[in-house]
Amino acid sequence: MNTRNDRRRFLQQVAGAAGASLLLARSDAWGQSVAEARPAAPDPMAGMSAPTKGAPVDTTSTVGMAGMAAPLPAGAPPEGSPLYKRVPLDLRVVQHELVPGVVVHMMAYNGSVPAPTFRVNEGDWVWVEFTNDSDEMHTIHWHGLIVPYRMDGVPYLTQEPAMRGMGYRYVFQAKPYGTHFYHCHFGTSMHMQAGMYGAFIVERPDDPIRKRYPYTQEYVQILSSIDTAFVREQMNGMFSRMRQRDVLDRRGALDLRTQSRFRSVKALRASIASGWTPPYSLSRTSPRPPAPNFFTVNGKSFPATEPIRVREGEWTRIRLINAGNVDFNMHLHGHDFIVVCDDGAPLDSPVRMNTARISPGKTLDLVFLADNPGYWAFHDHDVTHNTNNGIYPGGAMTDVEYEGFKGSYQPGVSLDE
Amino acid sequence: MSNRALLLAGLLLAAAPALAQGTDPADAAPDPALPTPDVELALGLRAVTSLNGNLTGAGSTSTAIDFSDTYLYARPRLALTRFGLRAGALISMTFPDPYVDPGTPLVADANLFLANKWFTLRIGRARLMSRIVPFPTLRDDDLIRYSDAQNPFSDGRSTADHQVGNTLDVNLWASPRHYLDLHAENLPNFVLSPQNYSAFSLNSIGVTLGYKQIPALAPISFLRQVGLGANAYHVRDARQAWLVDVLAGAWLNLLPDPVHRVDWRAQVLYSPGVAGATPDIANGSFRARVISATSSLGYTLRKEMMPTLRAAAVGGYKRYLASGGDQYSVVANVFYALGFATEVGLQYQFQKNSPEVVKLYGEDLQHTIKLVLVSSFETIVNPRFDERDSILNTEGGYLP
Repeated sequence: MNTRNDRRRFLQQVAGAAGASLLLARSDAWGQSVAEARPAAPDPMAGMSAPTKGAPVDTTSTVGMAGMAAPLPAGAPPEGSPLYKRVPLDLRVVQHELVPGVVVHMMAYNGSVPAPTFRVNEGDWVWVEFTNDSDEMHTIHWHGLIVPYRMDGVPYLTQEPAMRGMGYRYVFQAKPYGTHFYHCHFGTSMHMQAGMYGAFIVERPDDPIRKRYPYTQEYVQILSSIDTAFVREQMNGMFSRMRQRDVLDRRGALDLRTQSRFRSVKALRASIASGWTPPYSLSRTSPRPPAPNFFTVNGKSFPATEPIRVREGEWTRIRLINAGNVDFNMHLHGHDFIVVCDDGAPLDSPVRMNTARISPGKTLDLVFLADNPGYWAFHDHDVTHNTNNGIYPGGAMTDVEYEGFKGSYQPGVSLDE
Repeated sequence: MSNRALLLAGLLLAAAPALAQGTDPADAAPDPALPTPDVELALGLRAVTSLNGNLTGAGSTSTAIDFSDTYLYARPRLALTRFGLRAGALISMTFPDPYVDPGTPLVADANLFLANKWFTLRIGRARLMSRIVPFPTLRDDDLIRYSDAQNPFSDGRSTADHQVGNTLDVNLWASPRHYLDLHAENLPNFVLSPQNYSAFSLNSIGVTLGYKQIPALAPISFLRQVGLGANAYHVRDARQAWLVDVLAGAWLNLLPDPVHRVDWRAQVLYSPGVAGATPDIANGSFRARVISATSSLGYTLRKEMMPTLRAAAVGGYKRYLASGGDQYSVVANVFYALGFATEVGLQYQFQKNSPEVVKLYGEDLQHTIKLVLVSSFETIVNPRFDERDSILNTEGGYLP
């Protein structure tokens, strides 16, 4: 097993050599909608790493925390093939502004909350080099994508999680068509609240939605929620524990039970019978369940959310993704919209409505015709989610603004007390 | 005093939202036009109980049920609108030795503080900066003669005289680990006013410069803490106005391991004393010219990174340089964890006094064995803040 320092040196040596070839692939892999309503993605080359080689499969009484590389999927192009859309993703702790006056620590892929958007064609081969620069363990789950199971990113089910300074190589073919997303699947309750999610858009040249509704622009809106105290406490606790586990790992003394890790439920029962106490036991310190106090659209709460800018007479597509842990009921004022895709799949019978419910893990694609000039709220109609720390208005709310519209009333920002 | 303390704590907790709105006591009704800021409230208890058995060199024995050092506290905190500040208060009570004043709790903390990234300002009754590092004894006064700067105004009735006082304390933080502490105190002057506990005057100032590893990394770092301090007491003695002592201490993890940790702590304290002071009476011993040293070697077992067992050997030695005489004490203890923050244990303490100090302490030799049950409880209602020295604030940038 590589030590942390050995691993870091290895990464540093190969990163420079690999950088040049990956730079060429950057524009292909990172094509983004010009209208995407989120902060500009950071340089995706930052934190680039080489393919991961890690610890062997756990067969002993001790096991390290290294990530592992799975074999290339059947039918995948050779490793150096130019057919791959190559994407480096790192993971770091950042300070992120939810709304003016509220900055929190979050965990961000390539430094961005939400993470950079993937936009590829159906059938493209994708090669993601993930490097973990945080103290926590992580994986990446490709939510809604049909990938080989070793690429599904579920810790201890399909892969070893990646420890700090290590990573994992995800290689898969982008399918099926539609709006999907990706997120960390380790410590998911906390990590997704902490910002580890991004959109993954699989396109077709003959887009079936555009054929029926000739939209000229599209927006991706990732909905989420965060309990800031929960995330802060969990991050502090997990980072502290991981630092200590790292000390044990470096000297080969990190055993399974110390990681609360077992080969089977039977082994878990046996450990409890022999005196080990599970973390969810009342006799151990357990986190309280999260109670979100901020609700976000693309990582921001109103009034920091970006508006949807439209041109009169044109169709707009909105790709909604619920990466949070509460339902959102998105309501558009002054218009009806048409729900055209559910979980990325085009609906045979699109549904006209003005409020669409989207549960955690779901994606919905909406289209609407800009035929009523003005400023129109687009918000979660569970209005408790239109708050920032309980103060209205805030949270999951934005608006639709018509380009060139000069109304008799100009919108401003006002906060209730 | 105990009733007043209880009343104060009760009022504080019951009226926290109202207090947060305004400070004018005449403003009995809160102004509904003002918002009610969110208050974080930490409530905690450290219960320390033991069955003590004492044996003196003369062969006399005694036993006691001891609940001293039991500590009950409440700490509300509130974010302020200016300068990234937060305000907080700490109200606590402890229980003294059963031999001193059984049943009467002592107000250990009753202070208000302001804090941001760079400083903490604390005003009120608080723990004194009388030592650099804590030592792994059951109670924090088990070796207080050796480990803490002694209050020269005390008549020796309670070890709390050396531990708590009315303080104005400013902690300046150059980084999350480096600090400069400046403090001034009204120490209770029992010598001047033995019957009047309220006869205070500003009579002590001090400074401490130190390094302290953040809690998240302290168990796995070689250097946990190191510091250098000095205290000056305005003793107003006929022969000298001020008594200045200096102390230096360090805490190292010899084996900084999360499972098997071995740590070493040491502190040296020197006081030039007041001319003529001798250790035949309590106040004389606190004003005598002395050098004392305290050191410990500890082992902590955290099997599977869970609290399991800890054991320590601690020794203290003090030499009275002017009058002659010395005393020393050795503590050995072992604690077994029944779960989180609850331990059963056994502590043995041996004390030896030279003839010069026997008059004060009564015996030249004493053995004490304590069977111990100790448990700590804390809950934070409405958590709002991270700590200045959290790993997130230290490595991810400070957030107020």
